[in-house]
Amino acid sequence: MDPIVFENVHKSYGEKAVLRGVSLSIPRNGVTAIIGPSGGGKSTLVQMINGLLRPDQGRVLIFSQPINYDNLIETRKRIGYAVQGVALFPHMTVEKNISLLAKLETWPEPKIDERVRELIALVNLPAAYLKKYPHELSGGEQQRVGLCRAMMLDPKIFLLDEPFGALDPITRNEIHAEFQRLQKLAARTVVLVTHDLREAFKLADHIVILNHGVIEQVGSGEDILDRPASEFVEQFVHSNLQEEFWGSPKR
Amino acid sequence: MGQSKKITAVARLCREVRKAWDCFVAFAPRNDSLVIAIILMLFVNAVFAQTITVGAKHFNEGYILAEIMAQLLEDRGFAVQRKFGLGGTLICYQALVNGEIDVYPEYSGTIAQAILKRTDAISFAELQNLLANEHRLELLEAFGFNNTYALTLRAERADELNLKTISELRQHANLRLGLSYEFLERADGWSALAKAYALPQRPVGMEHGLAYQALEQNKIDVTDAYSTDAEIPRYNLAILEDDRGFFPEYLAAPFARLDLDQSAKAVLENLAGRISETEMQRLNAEVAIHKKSFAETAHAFLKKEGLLDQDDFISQTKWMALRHRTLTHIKLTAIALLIAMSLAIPFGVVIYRLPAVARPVLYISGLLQTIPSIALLAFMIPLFGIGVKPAIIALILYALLPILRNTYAALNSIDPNLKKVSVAMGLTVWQRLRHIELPLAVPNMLAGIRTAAVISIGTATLAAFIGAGGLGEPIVTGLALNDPYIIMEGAIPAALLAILAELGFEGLERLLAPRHLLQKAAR
Repeated sequence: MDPIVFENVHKSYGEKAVLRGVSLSIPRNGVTAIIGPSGGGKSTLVQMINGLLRPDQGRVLIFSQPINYDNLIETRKRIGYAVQGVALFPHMTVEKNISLLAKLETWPEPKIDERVRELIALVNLPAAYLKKYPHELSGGEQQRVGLCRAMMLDPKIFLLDEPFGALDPITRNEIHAEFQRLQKLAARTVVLVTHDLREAFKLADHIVILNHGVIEQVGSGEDILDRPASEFVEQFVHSNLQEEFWGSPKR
Repeated sequence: MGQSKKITAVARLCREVRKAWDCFVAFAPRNDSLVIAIILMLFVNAVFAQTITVGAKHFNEGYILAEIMAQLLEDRGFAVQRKFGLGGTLICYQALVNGEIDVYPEYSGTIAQAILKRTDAISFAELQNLLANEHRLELLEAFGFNNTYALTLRAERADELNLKTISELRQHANLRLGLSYEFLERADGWSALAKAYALPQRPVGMEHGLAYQALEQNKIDVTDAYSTDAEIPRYNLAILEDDRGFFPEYLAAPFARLDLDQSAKAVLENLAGRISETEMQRLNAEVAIHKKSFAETAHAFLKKEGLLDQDDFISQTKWMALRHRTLTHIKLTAIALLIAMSLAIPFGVVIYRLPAVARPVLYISGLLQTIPSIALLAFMIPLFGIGVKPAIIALILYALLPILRNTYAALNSIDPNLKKVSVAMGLTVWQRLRHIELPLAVPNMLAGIRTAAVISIGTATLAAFIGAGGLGEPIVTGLALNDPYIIMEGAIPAALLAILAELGFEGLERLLAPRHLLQKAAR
């Protein structure tokens, strides 16, 4: 069974329905991109995987188990999480940011040290950076540290909530390459929320298009381009690629 | 089964506590803060531990001797609290036993008879041993004089008759003796004395107060007195030596708890043998006849004896008073602040976690703030009486709001994205609080504590109105006397203290603030 399964999930904020009967299976060790217009429910969907949000109706299964909302801590520790703006803890050094979870798990000191050094090397940052504070780092560097932090306990599931959104195009390309390299080294189940269709095409094995709380289409990049399931998908793909092409979105 | 369960539970608890401590040490914003906290605690301890409480019985000589001891200790750097005017021997003794006072002047004869109920003669050294071994009290070396019953007559008359001892009185059967009724009637009074010395005179009874005048006017030749009475030098009297040792010894000495600081005892030993009967008479006369204050008299004596390391009396006593008041002031505000912090910070965390109660709690503590300080202090009197306790409680009530509100606001102003990530990472509520939320809230929390500290220093000046002491004392006195200079003696140090507190907290903020905030400010 797939590691993440949504079964007929509904969610509303007051009057506004954000998810309307979403059923979805996210396959193991692949990158699944969730894409769609703003307010389509992308973030809501991904925050249900680590229990930050709870469905009004339906259920979410992680590793074949329905989420136990009384013990989210254990579930969350097995799920890496990175968000837009990185949100590194500003009062901790890079090292402490990365190692916090392991320390709280009372890993032995040498093991923590080894893992931190392994991770920082993995994202191509010099070890000297460990002593720095987040504000001393560039946006791209912070993003890499954010990935290290999410990878510390070696989670099998990775949630990336538009983590690359705020980066400049060059840095974003670098991070993309980094990400692909890491995924090749050790494949994980990754859920990537993005509003950038090109990013989705580039990084994802599966693409989920979400609009007004309903899944419009699930498929590979090829499926989406060549065989759009609905008029909305066709339009969305068209306008999204055109935007990118012209460089300046107008709305 | 149940037993082993209990044991594992205890073991788990121990492990948790150690884990918490390890985490605290590892993640304290910077370890400096821990060091500072410890130093601060030691400092506070030192200030309070070194205070020596000197007691005194409610009579002239007791006050003078106690004041001499107190001033000498102060001169050598001890903080001294005076508890003078304690009712009688047994009250003083109980206070000493209970540790309410550390030392007071007492007489060997009184200790033997009134406290130990001994009727036989006991030497000073024996008494010292007995007290140390059986009562855990220490009688230090005697001041030097013996304040006992004595027979006295005018000095010129004594010279005339070449009369020096009580034995010699036998040869002057015609001398007129006017004795106090008490001395006449006591079992160990006249009749025993007359027997012991085979004295032939037939004394008349009279009021003790009138006896001196009768002597002066030559109506009588000899009367009884205490050997250190101020009247002896005043009327130029001589004391007849008790050459057969009839009267019990009343050697005055510092009577201390065995656990009194060794160095303080060493300081008090400087007084051993320094005060003769004549000297004590003179000191008594300074107060009783020349109307000098106890403090002045004590100081003049210590200065004459060359026992003072610091010299000027006026500036010294003012300086001492200032130091004493400032310490009291700091003590009042520090205790109030610490208690307010230990209440308001957890409360701030609680209302941050439970927004539903935040408004009522903030509202109530805000309401407390609006009560005028004098009124609040007045409310305290029927509830807690007067003195330090009600003052501290009032100060706590004032310090609550700034700390509470700032803690609450500080926690609420943390970047929601950081909170979201810390939740999603799988941190528990406590882990989030300890590692993320509280450290990030520290600068704003400190700002609240700083405000509370300055408010407390200001409000504490009003605590003098309910007898809590501190820098408000001269302000209250100055207001009563309409004397602006006296007011300034309290107002200026209080203002300086407030400024010092500001500066201190500024330093503390710089030390405890997360690095990223400082560096941003520096850019």
